[in-house]
Amino acid sequence: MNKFLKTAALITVSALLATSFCSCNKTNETTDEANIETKNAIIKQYLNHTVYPVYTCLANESEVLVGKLETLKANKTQNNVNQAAVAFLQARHWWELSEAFLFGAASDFGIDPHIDSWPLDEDAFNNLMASPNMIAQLANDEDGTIAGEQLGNALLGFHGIEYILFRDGSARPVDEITDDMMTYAVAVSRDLRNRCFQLEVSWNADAPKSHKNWMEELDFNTTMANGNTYGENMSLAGQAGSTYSTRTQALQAILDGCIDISDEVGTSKIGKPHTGDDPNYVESPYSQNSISDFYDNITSVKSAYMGGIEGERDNDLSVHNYVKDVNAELDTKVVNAINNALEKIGLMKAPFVLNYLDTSAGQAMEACQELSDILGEAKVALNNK
Amino acid sequence: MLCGILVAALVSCNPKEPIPTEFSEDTYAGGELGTTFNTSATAYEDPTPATEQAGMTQAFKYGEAFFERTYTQNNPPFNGLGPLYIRSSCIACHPGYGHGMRMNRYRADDWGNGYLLVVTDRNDTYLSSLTGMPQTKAVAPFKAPIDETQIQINWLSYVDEWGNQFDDGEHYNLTYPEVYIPEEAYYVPLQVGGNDIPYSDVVVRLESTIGIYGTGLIDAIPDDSLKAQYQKEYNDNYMQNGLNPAMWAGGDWAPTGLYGNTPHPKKYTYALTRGPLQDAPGANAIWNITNVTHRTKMGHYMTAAYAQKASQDPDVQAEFYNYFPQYNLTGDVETDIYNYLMMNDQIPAEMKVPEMKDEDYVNFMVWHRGLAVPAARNLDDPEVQRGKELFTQMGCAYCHRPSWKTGDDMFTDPTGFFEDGDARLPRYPNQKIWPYSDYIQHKLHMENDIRTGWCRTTPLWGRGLSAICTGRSDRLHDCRAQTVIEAIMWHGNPQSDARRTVEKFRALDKKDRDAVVKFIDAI
Repeated sequence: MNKFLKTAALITVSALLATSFCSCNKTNETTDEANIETKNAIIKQYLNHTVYPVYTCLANESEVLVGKLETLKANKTQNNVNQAAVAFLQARHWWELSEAFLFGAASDFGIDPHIDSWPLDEDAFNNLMASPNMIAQLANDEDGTIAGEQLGNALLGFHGIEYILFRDGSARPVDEITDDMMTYAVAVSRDLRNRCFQLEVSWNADAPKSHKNWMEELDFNTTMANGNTYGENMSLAGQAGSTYSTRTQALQAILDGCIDISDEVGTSKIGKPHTGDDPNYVESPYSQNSISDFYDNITSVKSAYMGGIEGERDNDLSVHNYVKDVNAELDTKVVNAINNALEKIGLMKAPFVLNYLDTSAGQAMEACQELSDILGEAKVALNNK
Repeated sequence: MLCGILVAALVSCNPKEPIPTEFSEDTYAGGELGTTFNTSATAYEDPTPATEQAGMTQAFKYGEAFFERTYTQNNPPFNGLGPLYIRSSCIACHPGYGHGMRMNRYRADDWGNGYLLVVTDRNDTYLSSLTGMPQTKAVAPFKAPIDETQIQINWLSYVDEWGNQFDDGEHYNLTYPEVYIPEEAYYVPLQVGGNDIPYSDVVVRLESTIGIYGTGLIDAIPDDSLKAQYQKEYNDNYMQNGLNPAMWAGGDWAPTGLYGNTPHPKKYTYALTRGPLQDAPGANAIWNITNVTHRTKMGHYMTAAYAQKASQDPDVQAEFYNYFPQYNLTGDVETDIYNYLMMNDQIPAEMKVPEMKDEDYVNFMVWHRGLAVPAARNLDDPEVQRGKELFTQMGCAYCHRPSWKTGDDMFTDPTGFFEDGDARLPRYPNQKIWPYSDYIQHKLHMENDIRTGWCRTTPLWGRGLSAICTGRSDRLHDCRAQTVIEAIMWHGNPQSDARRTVEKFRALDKKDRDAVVKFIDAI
């Protein structure tokens, strides 16, 4: 959900009470050419240098993971377990880096819950392992569609594969992994790859032809109701045919994605275990990769806000630069809050599953919540700008 | 303070845009305490100002997780799924917290499938051997009451008396679903009132979820105000189908118009089956969709017919003790299966532990009551204003009543879990809200119509953001309409209560029709 928090709401009311202000709920587009060009360039940069490359890498790494698991299934050695574990973490890394843009395809097609539901249903997993009929079906699941259609979200996605490959933060001993487990893991990884391809193709009209063809073969939906990809829809912001009636709405959507994940990391992923003293909320406990996940999530925010992923960043073509023009002080607060959240997460005592009550976790939680709040203010500051 | 906001002079930031002279109150769809100004993909997901001002934001967020997450059998914190279930998460039916999506097949795990199967006899009586909302999923070793892989949804074309065309030649599509479930797909016997009925008498329809934002505000509409609306519509006698006698007896509520043993009228669901929100669809769905028990709902959502069938099934008998060894209480497997499924008095009290903690249920209800309504948009746009004028003139606003005033909102909970006006939940006293519904049932006489033909007027607030929030804009009870125009034209049957209004709509030129659509998308 979006955390349009108290601070932001109060600002809205304050703005309404001011004697000179813009209606915050008008969705007419400006006709200022320079402003339009600036926003178009920011949107283009966001798509080409944040969303597309992240989803490209996620799609590619998910395919690598399938290959590594297939290799492990064919030849169960510790080295192959280790390599599959590395491939898992790499794919997971790119997924976490995408969580500042869970709006769009990830939400509309239900991909997020499909590949990242937590917790894993261990009873259902045990039942599956005890079902020769289902294992036989999964063994023939060449394209991952049987897994995708029949296992349900609580057995699919990253955490199912993590459960096979990891224990206590390390790759599992190979002799703990049965053939049936590998049959399951390979089928789930193929479904995971399918969904990662769907994310890539649904956003990027120029995604690789082979990935597009695969989506067509599986009959997966990769366009919005208006026939556009999510990238095309955002590029058309302010024009007929886009769900964004203004370009500002597109910029605010970018911020919304950042607000959402910042809040989720602060309130739910870190906050619920920390404040509720409940380790059941700790995600990625088998790989003990939670802190890396949190760091990547906030890095995702940084990429979205600052104008691209590392190596492709252009601050001049960023939401950051636009907010700076509107309210430089506010932008500085956002930038500082991003860096502070990354720093505090970096200082968290690892592993999180054993240290969720540590003071460092509380500090990271607060830093992420502060980031979410200040991003909310930035979003409001863009109303009609 | 709100009035000050409403009359404050505005200055447009774009000098080329018209400068509005006032900020109309209908912008605040959920009133001052219930409106969010978010117009992004998460516009249906925000907490209300009332929730934030009451310091419940954290609880709201915690509660949200119980709506969004996928449930498991025994892995906390989202545990308790089964033995039978309809979906494994709430959001699966309410994508983006909005209306369900039109589907070409019925699969519980298909994202956005908000359909519930409505299985009745030819007299619209639900099958007693199935739960009212039939389950198509089961945890091992049980079998689903209906095998969903055999369910077929066929979309058929309908041509209205105008050939699906306006006088100026503009065309619209009308399609509707027919559902076919073969006899062999039913695991349970086909029974009504406990008596077998022939398969040929079974009728299947679909009902979709609607958006859940703003339901707390609806709960705050005073009973007396709703009663006055019924009385007015009864006295006006505009509706050729009258009012549903099961709800209104002419001068007062019909006994079945009140919820359970309470004095409160039913407000929620197409069929008007639920009253106060604390025991309305959401509070029940967390239990009967997933079969996750909590303190006020400790039994399984289950029929005796299913329990009997499963208890006598050799496959289930062979595996039951492997999966549920703790329920080997009598040594007689048939008895133990039956008692477990019915969660009856034969199960020791100490084994009946709620799967959902009280604290989590409170947070869930904070979230449920605390969901804000998106503010209306572009109300100063001349085309939207023209649409509003026509919406009123044509009579749309008669059933899609624009506004209500909430009362003191000392809400009640028929289950007794919450006290009246319980301080743990947000309240919305004395708000002017704009849901665009009279919360009364009418008849549209659509092809393959909703069960009984009586359908509560669906609130229109926030629907214009559906494509942004959910990726789709499907409308009406079974998602048969994919555009606003289609939805309007499904109101046009000669026997429909909205017939005269549709005739007026048809008489508009395209520019005015588009203005009406734009208004509906704006509110």
